[in-house]
Amino acid sequence: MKKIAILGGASCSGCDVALFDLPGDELERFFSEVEVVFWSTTMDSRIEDFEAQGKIDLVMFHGGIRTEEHRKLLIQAREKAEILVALGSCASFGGIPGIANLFELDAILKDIYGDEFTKLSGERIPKPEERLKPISSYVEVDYYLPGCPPPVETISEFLDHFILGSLPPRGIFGKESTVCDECDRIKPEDISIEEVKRIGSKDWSEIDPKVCFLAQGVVCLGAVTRGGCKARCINANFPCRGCMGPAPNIRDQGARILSEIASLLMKESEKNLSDEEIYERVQKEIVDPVGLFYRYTLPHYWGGSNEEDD
Amino acid sequence: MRIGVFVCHCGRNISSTVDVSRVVREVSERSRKVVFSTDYKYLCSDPGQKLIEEKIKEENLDAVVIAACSPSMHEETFRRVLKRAGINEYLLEIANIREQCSWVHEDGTEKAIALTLAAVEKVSRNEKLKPIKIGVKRKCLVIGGGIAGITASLDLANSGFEVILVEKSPTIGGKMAQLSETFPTLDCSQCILTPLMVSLSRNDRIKLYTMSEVVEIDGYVGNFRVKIKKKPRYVIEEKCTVCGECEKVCPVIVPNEFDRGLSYRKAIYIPFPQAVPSSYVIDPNSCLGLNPVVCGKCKEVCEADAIDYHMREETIEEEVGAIIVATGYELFPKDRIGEYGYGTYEDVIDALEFERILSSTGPTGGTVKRPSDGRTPKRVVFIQCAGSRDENYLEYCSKICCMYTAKQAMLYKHLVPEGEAYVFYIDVRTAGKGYEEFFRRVQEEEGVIYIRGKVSRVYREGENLIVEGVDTLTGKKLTIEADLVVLSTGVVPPEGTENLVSVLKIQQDQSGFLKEAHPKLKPTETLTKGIFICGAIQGPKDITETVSQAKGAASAVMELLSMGEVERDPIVARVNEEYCVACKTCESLCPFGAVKVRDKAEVNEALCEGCGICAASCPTGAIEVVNNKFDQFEEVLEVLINGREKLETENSGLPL
Repeated sequence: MKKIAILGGASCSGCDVALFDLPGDELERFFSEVEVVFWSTTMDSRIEDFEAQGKIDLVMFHGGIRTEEHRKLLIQAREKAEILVALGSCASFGGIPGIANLFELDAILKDIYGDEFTKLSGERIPKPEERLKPISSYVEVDYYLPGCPPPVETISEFLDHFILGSLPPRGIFGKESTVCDECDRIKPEDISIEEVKRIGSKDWSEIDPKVCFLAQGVVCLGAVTRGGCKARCINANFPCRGCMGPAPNIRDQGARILSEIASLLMKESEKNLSDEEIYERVQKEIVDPVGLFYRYTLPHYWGGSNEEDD
Repeated sequence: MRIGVFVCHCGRNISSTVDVSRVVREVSERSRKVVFSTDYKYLCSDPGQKLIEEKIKEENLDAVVIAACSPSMHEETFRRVLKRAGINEYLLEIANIREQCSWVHEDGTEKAIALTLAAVEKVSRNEKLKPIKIGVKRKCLVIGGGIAGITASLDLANSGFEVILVEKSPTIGGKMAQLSETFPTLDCSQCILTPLMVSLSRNDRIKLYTMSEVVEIDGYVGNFRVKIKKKPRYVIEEKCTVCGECEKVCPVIVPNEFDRGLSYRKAIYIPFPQAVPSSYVIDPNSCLGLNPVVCGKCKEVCEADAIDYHMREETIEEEVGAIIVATGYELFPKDRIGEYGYGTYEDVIDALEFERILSSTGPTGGTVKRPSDGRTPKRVVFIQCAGSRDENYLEYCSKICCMYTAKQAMLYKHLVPEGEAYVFYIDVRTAGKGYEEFFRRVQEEEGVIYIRGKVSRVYREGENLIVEGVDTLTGKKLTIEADLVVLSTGVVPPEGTENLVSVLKIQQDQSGFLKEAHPKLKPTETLTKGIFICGAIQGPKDITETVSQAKGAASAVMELLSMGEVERDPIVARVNEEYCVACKTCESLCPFGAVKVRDKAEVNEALCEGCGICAASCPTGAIEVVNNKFDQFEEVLEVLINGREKLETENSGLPL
């Protein structure tokens, strides 16, 4: 029987939960056809159990690398794994915890622990790495299953292929499409964004659930984001925030959408504004640009303020 | 791909701050893509071009990088060289190591190497392309019916092309129709102009729209679609016999703008007897009869039944292959120069008003009378550079004022031989054939007194005006008692130029005149292909120059239209349908209306200018400009940052 281990780094364990979203019969089949040798979220697994394992057919790693402990675990995982999978957006691109890379480590620690950290470090808190990184920064990754969490259909399909031994060539396991391709909203002829509407703002109720978010002034990352999620957020009247990572043919997801929005923003009115006025308006309209455009991918594109080797 | 690099010295323009031989050596060393590199003193010269052609053949090159001046100078030249050598002319890149390097750096060698290597990277990913050919409409739109527009229209029509002439006012003729006599030959202005106006009106190839303005233009060189708004004349041109009965019975009297308000006209009027089209016109702002209950006198007496109070504004659409803008000039609004008292004193007038007074068909019937009391002025003071060459008003020289002042002074002396004429001047500029001789005659034979200096103040004392000024040659303060003061006002672009510029998508210079494509070599072209300019709208100029330039513009249009088709650069946007999500961002942003989204985005290559706005805004990277693709720029940036091409062993980042 093929052996599987599921473990993680800086993760919320949402990816573990996603595995449990598999339909009952599939979950049953999965457990009957493979041997799960390590899955600390669901089983009474200890790290020693993992260390004792020899070769493992499939290791699914979720979460990015925040601490020395994560890093060591990942390296072991790579050594043992026939196939190593980056499960979810954090393992693939760094994910939301990666936004912390905007700040220096010292500042982060001070913010969380106050002056206590030096006393605690080494004993009860694992040594943090300078910056959070996706797992591909340390080891070679065979497959990426992006998403926050990855769509259950994708996980199911991947496991089917794994069990049958019919996996495609290494790389991103997902759809070669964008979220826009899966979205049914109507796109108007002429798009111009005069005002950016934020989720939950007071005029949020005016948003037409049948019309493209972007055309209504809501920043939606659907066009720059890989499909496969069946536009699940958009169908719940919530704009795409880009968890599936860059769409095929796109190098930089955030820069792309930024460039599109910069082109559409105040298309008509900007002619009558000075550079300073435009700058002020943009600053007012786009609150937290990094969090908006690089919510899931910051470490993938940018190591941090003191990054030298990228 | 075998890439050759040619580095130009441009005499010493480049080689004085760039070590050309080092550039030649290091581009070969740092890039394995370069199979040949050399330099030459002037690559654009004939032997320079021959050298490139020979080396392409000898070295079996299939792509070329020229490190020289800006591509706007010689890209075309070098493309032709590639074509002659038998390779695709779009496998050429220019590294601008002159304007962007040698001219702005003390030692530009390292930057020149980087720029050249970047061009090597770019050209190595260029596609072979063919120019796009588009048919042209053999018809030209001329905007403005002054002497410039008339000349251009006649030249084009006489060469067999159709012309649409659009004029804002009720008649063609422009400023020249208002002038008395022209310098330096003293030809009667109307006498030489009106025959041209008549032959224009009789020409079947010219369609004339008066009281009309161009309100919308789209399309591109060879295929412009033009929307013209024609205001109602309320008199049917074809029916009007110019009998003048209507004018006699019209009860409304208003100032006559053709005489610059120095005479009066009725609400139904003809601007001047030789107006073209030869027809009366009703001024809707003063006419009472547009509401026939109030007044309908003219309609009652019109035997030809030419009057139609219900005429409406029309919108006319035309398709043309080229456009000439000849909207002329206006005089600087002299009431802005408060110290000269214009607007305060009736006897301070501007040059065009004096033209009307001097004209035999003018308000005074060819005798010189001053506006206030109709007396013949015995002493006239001319003030030159009224507005021009003055940092408070117009910084530039209006060019025509010196000569028209000299002419007016001479004409005054002819009409009032016992009168005195004084001219205040800063410099007298008489560059032009026969101009200096004319000026000498005015001074020596006619006895006009020229005073070098500026006038500080004009004020009234009794019935006369006191002109205070300084003779800067003697340093003495001068006070002249004058009957009439004539301001030689400067020349400005006409009202509405800004609007026209935005309709046509052409540019203005800092003074507001229209900007030519190149001040020396392309004075009648604009940066928008297919749109030409001539006459005073390009900058102040006299009739001689205006006519020459109008003929130049007409001939440039003929060159364009007679080819039957135009070639366009194939540097246009292209859609990769696989990635297009039909978000319509490109369609919303394209300034040329070249992209339409149906199932996927589609580019009309004839409309696309290759500006790249669509590529920059496309969220999925599905639309890109040919030979300006993202991967090309990524490599170019790599080279510019690192100063060498990227090695294949270097990883570009994460394996995504």
